[in-house]
Amino acid sequence: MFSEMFLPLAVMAASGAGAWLCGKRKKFAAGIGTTGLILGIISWGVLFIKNHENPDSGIIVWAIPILILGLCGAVHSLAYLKGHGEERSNLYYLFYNLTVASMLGVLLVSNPIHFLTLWELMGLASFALVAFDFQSGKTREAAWLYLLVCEAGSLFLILMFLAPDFSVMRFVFGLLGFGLKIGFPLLHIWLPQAHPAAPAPVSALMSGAMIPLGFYGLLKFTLDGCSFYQSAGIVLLALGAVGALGGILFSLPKTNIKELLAYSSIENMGIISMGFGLTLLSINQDSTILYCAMSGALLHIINHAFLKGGLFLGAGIIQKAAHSLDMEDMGGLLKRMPFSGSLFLMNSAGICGLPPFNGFISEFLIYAAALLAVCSGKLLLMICGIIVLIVLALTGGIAAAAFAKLTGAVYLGEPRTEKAAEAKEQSKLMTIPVLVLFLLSNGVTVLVGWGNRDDMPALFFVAVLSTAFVLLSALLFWIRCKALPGKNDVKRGCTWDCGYIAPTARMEYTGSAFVQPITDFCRFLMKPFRKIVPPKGIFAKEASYESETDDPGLARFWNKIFRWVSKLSEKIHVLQSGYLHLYILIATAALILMLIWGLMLPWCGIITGGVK
Amino acid sequence: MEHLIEFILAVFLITNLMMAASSRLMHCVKIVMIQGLLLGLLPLFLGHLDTMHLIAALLNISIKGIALPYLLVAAIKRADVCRELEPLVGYSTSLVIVLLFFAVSFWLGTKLPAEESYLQLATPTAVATMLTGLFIVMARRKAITQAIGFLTFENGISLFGTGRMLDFGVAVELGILLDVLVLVFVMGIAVMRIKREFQHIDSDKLHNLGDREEAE
Amino acid sequence: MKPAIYWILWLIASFILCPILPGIINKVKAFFAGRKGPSVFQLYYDLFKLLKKGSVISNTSGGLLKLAPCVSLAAIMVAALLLPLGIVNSPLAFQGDVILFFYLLGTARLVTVWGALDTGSSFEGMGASREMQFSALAEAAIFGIIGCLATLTRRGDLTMLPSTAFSSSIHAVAILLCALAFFIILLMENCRVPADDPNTHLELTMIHEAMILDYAGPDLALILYGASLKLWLFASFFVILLFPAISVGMLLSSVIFLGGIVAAAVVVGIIESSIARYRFIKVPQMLVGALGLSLIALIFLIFFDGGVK
Repeated sequence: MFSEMFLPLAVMAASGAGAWLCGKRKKFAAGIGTTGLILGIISWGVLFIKNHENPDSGIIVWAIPILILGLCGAVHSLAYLKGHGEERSNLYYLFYNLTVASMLGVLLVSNPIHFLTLWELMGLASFALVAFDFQSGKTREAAWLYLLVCEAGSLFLILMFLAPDFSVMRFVFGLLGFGLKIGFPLLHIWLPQAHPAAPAPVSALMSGAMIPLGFYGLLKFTLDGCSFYQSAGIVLLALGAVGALGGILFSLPKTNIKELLAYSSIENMGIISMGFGLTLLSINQDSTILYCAMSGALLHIINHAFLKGGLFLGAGIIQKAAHSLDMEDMGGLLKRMPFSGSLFLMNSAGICGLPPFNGFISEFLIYAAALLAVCSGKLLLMICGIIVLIVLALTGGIAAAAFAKLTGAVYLGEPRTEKAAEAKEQSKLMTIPVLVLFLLSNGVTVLVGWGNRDDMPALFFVAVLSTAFVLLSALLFWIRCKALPGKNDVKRGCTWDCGYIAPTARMEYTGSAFVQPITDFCRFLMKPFRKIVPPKGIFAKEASYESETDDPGLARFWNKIFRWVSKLSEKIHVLQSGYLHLYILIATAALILMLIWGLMLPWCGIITGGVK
Repeated sequence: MEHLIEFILAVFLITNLMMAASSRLMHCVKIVMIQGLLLGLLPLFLGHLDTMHLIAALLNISIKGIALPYLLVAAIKRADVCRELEPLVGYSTSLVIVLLFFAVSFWLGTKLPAEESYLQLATPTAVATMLTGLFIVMARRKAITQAIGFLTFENGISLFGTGRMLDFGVAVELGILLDVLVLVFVMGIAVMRIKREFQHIDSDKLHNLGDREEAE
Repeated sequence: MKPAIYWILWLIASFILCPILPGIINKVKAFFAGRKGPSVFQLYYDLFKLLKKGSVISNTSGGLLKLAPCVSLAAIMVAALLLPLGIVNSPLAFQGDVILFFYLLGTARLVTVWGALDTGSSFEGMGASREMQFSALAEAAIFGIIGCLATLTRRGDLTMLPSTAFSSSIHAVAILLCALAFFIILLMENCRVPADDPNTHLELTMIHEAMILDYAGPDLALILYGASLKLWLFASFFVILLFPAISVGMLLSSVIFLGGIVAAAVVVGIIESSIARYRFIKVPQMLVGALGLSLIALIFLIFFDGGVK
């Protein structure tokens, strides 16, 4: 029924191939690739609107991020690729268009084989994008991990489709397969590596649009019609709670901007997962909770896409401006790039879920669902509601700390390096997409508030009060600048530092120092590796403090398993002796044993079974 | 006639034992040749002789009984292989093991469902031959002996097919002939190549080619 | 008088009266120290004087330094619109407004932190860093309290506060535990001893005061006013939580409300006079303790109240 909607996807793929054929003529490649992509996206949108009465139109929640981020990312790439592997831009557009096309394709199919094929295509195409800067060893490592995760995910998905319908096994395999994409705790390890490695527009697309596709798959293939939704809800809620808290906690000590953003994606996926968990728990219990939690989770997918997309694109701008992604190298960028800087700051506040930005409204819905669950008087719902409340609150607080650290270290204060001091506002091609995303995202708040003024007055009130807040701030600022008697008596001076006359950037609080109280408080969890050189003597020359926190999933879980597996394979390696005789011996022995087994157990034997 | 078939099968078993005990290359080739000839003769005594059986018999005798032994002998002479077999497992041990194989295969033969009673001996003999062939591949060092072992293994399969072929024999025969072509390839080309590259055809030393590092 | 008009009057009164709270606290402290102390209205004089002054802006600032006080104050003022001031439900109350209330305060905090970091000063960074750590924990405790009150009253908005009733001993215990926990949050959020010391001039030991070191003139006035309004809001929250709405007439509830807030300020003053500021390592423990109190209250409610189906 959606068949004509594959046509735009074919256009995208074809233009990608066209861009590839352009070879070294990078302008042509960029032109063909981007034009095809934009054409494809617009026509897909038009076709969707034409088909909007289709029962499957719920995919719009996942389609909007793909369409908008695909578009904004493509425009952003035009400027981003300059000096970042521009000579390979033909390959970039090939895989970028393929990724967007396959992501949209995933939404259109319901046959498992088609779905798996497109899913796999999506993974492989995005793998090529992650590996785009393949000269760096770290990127190769990240891309390799991403590929492994994609393949493992596909394997679980195949197993899921093979498992009997509505069985626990199907649920578990689906959870693992899609969870690897979503980044549930312990399955998240690829995110903090792949996002910093990928080009900024790709990170935006992957974080905003691709990761949530896991929820799409989970809802469509794993949970659809499943009978144990209550337990499934508890599982999703628990995973979400751990993911949200853990994700944001481990984002704190990171100094790479995109790594921090990647952990924040894990957090947001956790929040969405909690929303879906509450939804499942309230099936047949309370339709208001269900409505709130479901719409909150779905809205959060869209909000997260806009906000995180804007932040990753903003990180791309920072990277181009300051030639680094390490926030300890920066500082004072807001003064140098006020436009993109203020957008980044506002997006940060949004992703922390703070009003008046749109991140609040989806978190609000999930909070409201949790509050309603607490009020419902049913024990399970109450306990889950309390957990969601407290986890969301803690997450929100720590997220605010993490993003205050990020924005503070990057945009505020004095620049810490020459490069940061020379940073300039970047090309309009990079800033306009961020602006578009920001405007769209806050349009969502107004739209949702206005659209629900009858059936959900709370949202309307939130929108109105948020607007009032913005207007009141503006009014106060106007009064402060224009109406007070001291308005013209403004002196400039250096920052007051306790009487010390020449403060330097080295005296500033660094990002790591900013979050040190929290990381220290959670030392039992985060186990940071610290290297301290204390000051010695009266006139101490040097002192330093370094701390590094490894990913808990990788360091404390997977690496142990990997080590164990590699030890095991070391032992099995004996079998691979290189002696033909031994190989044949092993094969023969296996053959004979199988024969004997088949004959000894006639009820499960192949040979006798065939005769009977 | 039936006794003749059982007589042939008994000879087959004896050749297997001789194969395990033999220490000379030429001797092994002769044994394989005898096996090939016997295999070719077997369908002639099955009772109902038709054109397909006749063709299969002729092909078996001409390829397994004449062409392949000739090729083997030619390869041995051209590659100037030492006549000694260089076993990894001693001859007497080999004998014991092959006898064990016989026991296993007869046990298997009783377990396998038999449709035609008068060829009851064929299945165990075939299994025994296959196992012996594989054992020769495993327990002898030279590349040539491995080819001989493989040929024996093939004979076993062929025998299995003939013994149970009464309904669907021709397909099996053709498949085996295809395998034999592969064997010819191994013999005619590979051994010469190996000889030229490494100055020996001791497959035992070929494990250096594997991906496992020697340092370990 | 209609409740809505009564509430609006109280809103206006709150905006006007809030600077009196720091004055009361200081007076109480002076009393305990055996001094006469400044006038209760001292903050009014300060504010008027500051508003007339000019300002000094750091060269480092990228503009946030100037913007932050306005946005922060606006957030606190909008939050005030949601509270059932005078123990009457706000006409703006809606399902889940309690979330917006605390998140607006969160925005105010983030903006203040940004303003502090905008100066690039190490002291302000230090203050901001501590503020973020403590507030994250405080947030959890606050929502623990909210969860507890929601369980108690079966309401999901700020009307839960005046609906609390000491109808049974379990309820009374739960309400008192919540109130105690909230009082701890009040002390922390408003930079009071034992979490923070508003009077100290040792930057190393300050939180909120360290963040506003670079403000002068009208900016400082906005911040001081915002801080006093925030204290007023928290004190009202505390008072409304303890005193349920009873049909005693508007005059009497006004008296209870105002008296409660003044009493809360006096208690804060007494605490400040009698104990010293905790070490910073202790403050998180205090906040986790507040969360613990709310959870204990919750367990009481869930398992002993019998209200759970």
